[in-house]
Amino acid sequence: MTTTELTIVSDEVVDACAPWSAIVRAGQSLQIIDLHGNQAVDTLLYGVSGDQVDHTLRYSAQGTVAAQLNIFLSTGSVLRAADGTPLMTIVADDVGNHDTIAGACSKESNPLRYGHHTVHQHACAENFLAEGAKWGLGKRDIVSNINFL
Amino acid sequence: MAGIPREGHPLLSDQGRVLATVVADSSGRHDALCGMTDAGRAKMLLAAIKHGLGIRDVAPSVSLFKGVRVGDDGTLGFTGSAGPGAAVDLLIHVPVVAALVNSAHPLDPDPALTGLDVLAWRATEQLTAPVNDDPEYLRALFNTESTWAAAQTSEALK
Repeated sequence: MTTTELTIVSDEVVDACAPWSAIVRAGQSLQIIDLHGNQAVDTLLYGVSGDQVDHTLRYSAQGTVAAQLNIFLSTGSVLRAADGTPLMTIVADDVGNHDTIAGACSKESNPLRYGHHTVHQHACAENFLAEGAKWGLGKRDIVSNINFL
Repeated sequence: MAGIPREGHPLLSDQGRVLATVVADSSGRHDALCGMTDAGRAKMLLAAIKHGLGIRDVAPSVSLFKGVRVGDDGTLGFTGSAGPGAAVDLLIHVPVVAALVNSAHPLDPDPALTGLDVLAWRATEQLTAPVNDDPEYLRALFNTESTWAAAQTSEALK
């Protein structure tokens, strides 16, 4: 029997409602663990060249869905850019399917769905903007995301 | 389920603004899930560049006149076209750049490209009578008109 030794290069706990980002190199694996069984993990991917973000290469829900002819993401799903370039592959999944249609809520869209009293509530689009700014990403770069778990 | 716009449905921005409403539709075969072919995307980028936009501005697109249905297991099934002569009327709520590419659907097994007729006319009176009385639609309309009115006011103050 052979065992594979995993070398953990990063292990971080993300607070509730908080954003997180990092460069994941080709050949590395990213594992997302829903510690309390309650999370929707809004996720976007962008290509990098060295340490610079490639603004022309990013996750595309439509590119991913059209290539696999299925709207659900699970083991085997290749997360692709609009031109079909593979960015990541889901290699293991305890859940079964994940959403890439519903997107992220924003302070601007919440009032129409849930009423005007929600305008000041936390929204994931704000997280994407704040975290994206660290990489030079702006509003133009925020596209339809994955909702893991 | 099907990710398709229907009569009375708004086409919203990511911020929930009503850019357009589908006010008439004799096709019923549309798709918002699959995006474009490589050739279609190249033409869409060209349309964007003509308006000072770039590849970062080319967001997910909706494909009119070619339908896709989603099975319970999530699989996509191409339902094709409703035939020649079908039309979609879009009421535009705020000034927009409408970029259309006459292109094959990425799931079409037998694409045959033919001509498209695009008409535009004044429909100011239609803006005052919402075609949909759903509370979400009316809130979206209110938010859009408030934002647009505020933008025009701040422009006038410059």
